[in-house]
Amino acid sequence: MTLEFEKVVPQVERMGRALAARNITLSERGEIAWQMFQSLGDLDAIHARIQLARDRDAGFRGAAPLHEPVNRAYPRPDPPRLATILAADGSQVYPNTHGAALYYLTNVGVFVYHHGLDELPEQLTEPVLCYTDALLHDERGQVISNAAVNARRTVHELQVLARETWNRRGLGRPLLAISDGPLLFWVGKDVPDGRQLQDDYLAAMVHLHDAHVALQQTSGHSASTIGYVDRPTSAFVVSLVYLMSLIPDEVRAAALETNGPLEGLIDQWLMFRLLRPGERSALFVQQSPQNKRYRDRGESYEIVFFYLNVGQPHAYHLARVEMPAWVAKDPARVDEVHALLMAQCEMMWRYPYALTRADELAVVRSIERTQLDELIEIELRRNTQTVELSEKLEAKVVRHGRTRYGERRRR
Amino acid sequence: MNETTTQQPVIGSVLRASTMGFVCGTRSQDIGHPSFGAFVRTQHEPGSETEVIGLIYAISIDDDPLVRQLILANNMNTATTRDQRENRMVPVEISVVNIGYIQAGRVYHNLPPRPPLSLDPVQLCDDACIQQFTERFDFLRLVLNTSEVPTEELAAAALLHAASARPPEQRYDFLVAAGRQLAGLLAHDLPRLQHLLRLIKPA
Repeated sequence: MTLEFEKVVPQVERMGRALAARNITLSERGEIAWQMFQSLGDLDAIHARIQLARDRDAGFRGAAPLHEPVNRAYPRPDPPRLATILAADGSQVYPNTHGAALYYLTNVGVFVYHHGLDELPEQLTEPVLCYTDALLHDERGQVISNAAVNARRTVHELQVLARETWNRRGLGRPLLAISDGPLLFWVGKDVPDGRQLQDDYLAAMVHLHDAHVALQQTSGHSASTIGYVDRPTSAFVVSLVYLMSLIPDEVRAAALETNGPLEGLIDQWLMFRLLRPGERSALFVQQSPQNKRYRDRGESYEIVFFYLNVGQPHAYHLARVEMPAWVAKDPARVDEVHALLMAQCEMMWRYPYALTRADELAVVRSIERTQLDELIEIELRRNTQTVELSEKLEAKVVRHGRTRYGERRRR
Repeated sequence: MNETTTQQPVIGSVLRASTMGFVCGTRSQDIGHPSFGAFVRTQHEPGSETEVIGLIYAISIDDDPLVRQLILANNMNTATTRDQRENRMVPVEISVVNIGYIQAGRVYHNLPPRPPLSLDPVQLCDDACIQQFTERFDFLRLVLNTSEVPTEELAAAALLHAASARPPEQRYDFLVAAGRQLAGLLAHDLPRLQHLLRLIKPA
């Protein structure tokens, strides 16, 4: 049975009308939020209000300004003449209980771009095939979830990025290590050894910090680390605006469960009004138990972020750039990150070139998955193992017309 | 670039093939050697007695979303260009039309008995091979009857390649003889013949 479009089309039309209506109400609320945001000029008052929320354990999860005025934009600085940019990304093949053998695979790609030089960029990939029972099953004997594979891949990504950054600490020029996605990492309860994974992730952050310290000692340059979030849907600043709109008596957990009349708005509404292309927002600290855990590891590890308009005058595009406090607390390093990211985004219109290439290196395409499955099948047969696909998979092959070698036709 | 025992460069490997022709792939930085109308040959296997002879009629480089994005951004530098060409291994496809084969040292101006296989190396023909293959002009009929190929331009380019594979003193006579053969083949189509003769007219 295929999708019956004559039944779906009326629903799509209703969806379009509903989204348009929602956007009208959102734009009205966005205007209110913008007026309130513009009035946030007193940093002391903001910090006092956040402290009040903390004292009352009100569960505030919004943004706290680091040290800069929040309602102004920060222009694009000049980039350093030379720098080396490392970007890491990962991809995976999830365990398939219907396949010939149970396994999963993670693949990390790292791309190294030498800013200001004509040198050929470097690239490397690190695939890891996991097939042992200990890696494939949780403590109850169940096959691990996709979330567990994602968590292990994320940790491996940062470990490889840290190792490659450390290996280049002798280059004698600024380094910028870019991880795809947020830097705050936490795992759900369905991930086996979640605590260990979080510790491993933090250890990789420490390794990145060590690279920075080593580079500082030898050449005075910085090794900055960032997490790059494209088109963020976060509402941390909206939450701050809402918090500041309350009277002190209202600052309670019940009131902060939502963003009240601003619920549904995301920070992009405010940032597109505030930031012109190339400009960044003030630095903010996200208030969360996860970030507190990072801070408990050391003040240098607390995660700070700014928003960056990486778009063009006619097409704004927002990114959230997260960094540890060791980067955020030095204005020169923040400028370096800001300028290098803009230079990278300009090469690809509005996304960092290095991250694009890292993603391309990491991705496991469906044809490669099929080839890997075939390789595993061959290896199993060579080792006199019986290869049986589940009935479900066989049925899918029949339905989708999967072809074997020799049967493929070029379009 | 690989070199074979005949010192002619391997320009790529067969991607797909039929008895009519084949397409070979190579990396974008390796396209210095092949040119339109050049003679190429493939061998089914090392030591095989049959060599398929063909003419290059198209060299194409496919685009991809990343390249499109880079062009759109219009902010390329040497490092990104090198990255695209050397790291990303942008494939170049070289299309070849079969015009004959050499079996046990004898030249046949006919379609080969079977096509080359995937990954067979494709090599530019050396001067001796081109001279041997173009001693007669029967292959021109195959070229002129090929569809979806700019046949006049291809035939002219092949004849000029074949002429330059000969000593300078033989080139004029070779091209005149080729012109006579073409006059016979295209007697019914004078505009086409006229165009072709203009293309191969000796300097």
